Order: sequence, then C-alpha cells, then structure tokens
Amino acid sequence: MRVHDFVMPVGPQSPAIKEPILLKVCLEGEEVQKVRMVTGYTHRGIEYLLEGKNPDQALYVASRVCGICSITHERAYVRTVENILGYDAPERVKAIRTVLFELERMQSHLLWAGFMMHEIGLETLFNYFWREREKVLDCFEKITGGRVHHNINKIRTLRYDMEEEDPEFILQQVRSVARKTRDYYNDCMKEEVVVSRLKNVGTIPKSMALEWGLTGPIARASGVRIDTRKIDPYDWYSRIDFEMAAGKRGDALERLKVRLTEVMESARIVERVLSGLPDEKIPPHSLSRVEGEGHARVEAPRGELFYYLRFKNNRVERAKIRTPSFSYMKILEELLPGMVVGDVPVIVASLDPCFSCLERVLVEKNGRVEELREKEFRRKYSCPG
Amino acid sequence: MGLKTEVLAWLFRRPVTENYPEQKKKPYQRFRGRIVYYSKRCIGCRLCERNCPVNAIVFHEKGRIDFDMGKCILCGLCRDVCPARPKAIAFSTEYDYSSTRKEDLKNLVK
Repeated sequence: MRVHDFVMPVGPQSPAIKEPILLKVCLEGEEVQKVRMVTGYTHRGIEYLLEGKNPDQALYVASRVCGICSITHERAYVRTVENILGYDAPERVKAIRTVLFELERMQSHLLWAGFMMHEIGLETLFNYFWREREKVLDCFEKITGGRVHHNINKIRTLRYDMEEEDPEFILQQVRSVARKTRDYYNDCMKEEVVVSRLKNVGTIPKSMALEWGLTGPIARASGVRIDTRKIDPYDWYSRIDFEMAAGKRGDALERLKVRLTEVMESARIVERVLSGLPDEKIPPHSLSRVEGEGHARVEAPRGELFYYLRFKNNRVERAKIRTPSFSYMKILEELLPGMVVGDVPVIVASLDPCFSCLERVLVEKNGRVEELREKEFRRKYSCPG
Repeated sequence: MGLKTEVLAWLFRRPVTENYPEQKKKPYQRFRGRIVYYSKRCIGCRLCERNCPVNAIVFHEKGRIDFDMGKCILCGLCRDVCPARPKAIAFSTEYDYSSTRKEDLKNLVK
C-alpha cells in the first residue's frame, strides 16, 4: 500500500458534513487517492434496547431509530407484527397510513434537497425548500400531534382518526408544496451553478448499483427500477397507480431529479388516496399479545427498510433492522477516489446518509473497539454467510 | 414562476419565521407537550408505569406518581393505557420546559 502525502480528516465534527462520520481522505494535491470510513459515533444499541420490551412499548422505541423517517420505522414494525398476527387492517386505516407514509417521503426529500443546496452554497434555495417542508410538518402536527416523532401507528389500528376538515387541509398544503417544488425543480435544472456543480459528480453506473445491492432513489437514479412499493405492495400501493421516478446517469444531478420528482409523485398519491378515503370507523386500540417470528419490508425515503422480529412470552426476543443507509455507506470508499476534495461533501450529501440509522455493527471486547470487515467478522464470530 | 420572481416577491412580504421567545407558535390540539397528571382521577392501577418504554414513570401510591420529563420520549402510551375515565394522564401543549435543574422536569400535578 502506498503512503500518500497528506491525510485529511473530514468529520466527525465538520462544517461540511452535518452528521457524525469520519472520513480519512488521502490527498495527492487536490485529488482524493484513498478514503477510509470510520463510523460508530452515534451507536446507541437500539436493537438491544428493543429486546425485553412488550410489543406496544417496542413500537415507540423502533420509531426512534431514525430522526427523519419516523413513520417508516413505525410502519415497518407494525407490518412485521401484523404479519405475525395474520391481521389485515381495515381500508380506512390503510388509506391514512398511505397518506402519512407519502407525507413522510415528501418532507424527507425536501429536507435533503435543501441540505444539498446548502452544500453547494445556494442558501436561498435551501431556505425555500425548508419553507415548503414546514407545510408538510404542519400537516403532521395537526393529524398526529408530533412534528418529527409522530407515533400515530398502533398495532392493528391508528391512534387518531382523521377529522372531517383534515383531508381538505392536507390537500391544500400538499398542492402548494407540489407547485413550489415543480418551480424549484425547473429552476435547479436551468441554473448553471447547480448543474455544473452536480453533473458527473459521484457517478454510480448501473452495474455498480446492482453489484452493491442499492435500493431507493440512489438505485433509481442509476437506472435500476426497484421500488418496494411496486414489488411488495402494502397498504394502498397495489390499488393506486403511480409512476416510479427513474434516471440514467446516476450522478448527483440525477439523484436530485429523482428525489424532487418523487416529491411531486407523492403529492399525487396523497391526492388520489384522499379522494377515495373510505368512510368507516377505525377500530379502538388495545394492548396486543404477540408470539412467534416474522419479517417485513417497506420503502423508506432512502430505500428498502427491513425488519425482523422474534417474540417470546409477549416480549421482543430478537430484533434485526436493516436500514437503507446501511447498505450503501461503504460505497463512499469506492466513489470518492479520483474526485477533487471540494466534491467530498457534495458526494456524501448526495447519497442522503442517515447515520443514526446506519450504525449497527461495532464489536467491543475487553474495552477495545475493533472494526471488522465483513469477511473477518464472519470468520471471527462464525456467522453463517 | 421563476426563482428571480420568487426572490423579488418575497422582498415585499413579511418573513415566515417568528420571533420565538416573544411570539410563541400555538400548537395544534393533538400536540403532545408536557405531561399533566390529575391525581384525583388516578385509580392506582400502575399500568402507565408498567408500559412506559423508557421507565420515566415511578409509582409511589395512588395519587402520587412521578413523571420524569427528562427521560420521557412523549410517545403517549401511558395516556393510551390509562383505564380511568376521564383519563388521569393528559398532554398539555407546553413545549418549552427545558431547564438546567432536574427538579423543574418533574410532572405538573393537578
């Protein structure tokens, strides 16, 4: 291995990267030669925290895995438990869940878009995107009582039903957000600063996306047509016809395109669901009793989110969560070499990483933290491959 | 409408942000803020203590329960499981109760 001239640490506290990750960037002049990624700064042991909790308690711990996509974690948990129970929720519950799920996707993508604009120095667009996001958060606060952690899903049902005036309120907000997003989308694609800064930066070709098993908007931007809402539909996704946003080149600009298109598509899904909202009563909630094991997946804003849960004596015995960020963060070590150092924060941000979701494997033994690659980990701890 | 028009239009409008400590945004009705405990309605069943996911609730006796708002994650499960009618636990819309002293984070008792 060649020793490079200069190793620059980016993070864990850096003005360029907002989340705690350490990138040891080896530089040869301006060019990145090699990158080593160090994570573990937000490891909370949340799978262990889930163990020993009863099914209703664990739901609220699960929803706090992520601070941006709380509903998706709740939904994945509830889907897993309902799979174990063999329960099919009433149509109105499913419809409201679909609406909330899409609102979550909208706010997450708008947050990302604003953040991306901030990274390339367009503070005005950053503020505009976040102003639109505020409208979606208002919808959440009105329906669920929480702006970030919503906690509206219950096993078998929902905590609250929608009030009579709520659909009208949501439609109004969502239409306004979609209209503004379309304007900003057109502006972004015409704006020289955005295009020149994002085009051909952090390109993931289709073959690489397939090889790394990417999901979500990143895979779709590379031309891989994969969406859990299409291949394993839940709630109302099988009843509603929607378009899957897709790109070709797989660079940062394409990812911006895909995400903003998804915001507009989500707004259309919300409109369609609310126009056919069934008029029935949702069942009251009660404490559940669950035994056995099951798994489920949902399409989180960042990709496929997978849950595995095993219950024994009405307590969670084992939980395994595979978040979308987990699958793609290692790709940074392959993407960054060859780029100039100024593009590092742009590429990291364009992947939309969520580090509190990501941090899962960190082996601590005799007070020493050791970091293992997949093969070494399997050999040392004899995990079946 | 292009970005330039948008920027120019917002020159003549009031900002969307608020002067937070002076002007406080009124939360919606379902907002989960600081917990209010109605000691007279409590029947002493301990269901809230048993179901709290973060052990923020300590039961002393019927009518005397400690809610540690420093630990509370505001999930609302204690209110959902409360069998008393009307419920002994409610959420106020008070959201700015952060403090440098732990005693200030105890529950509001009515």
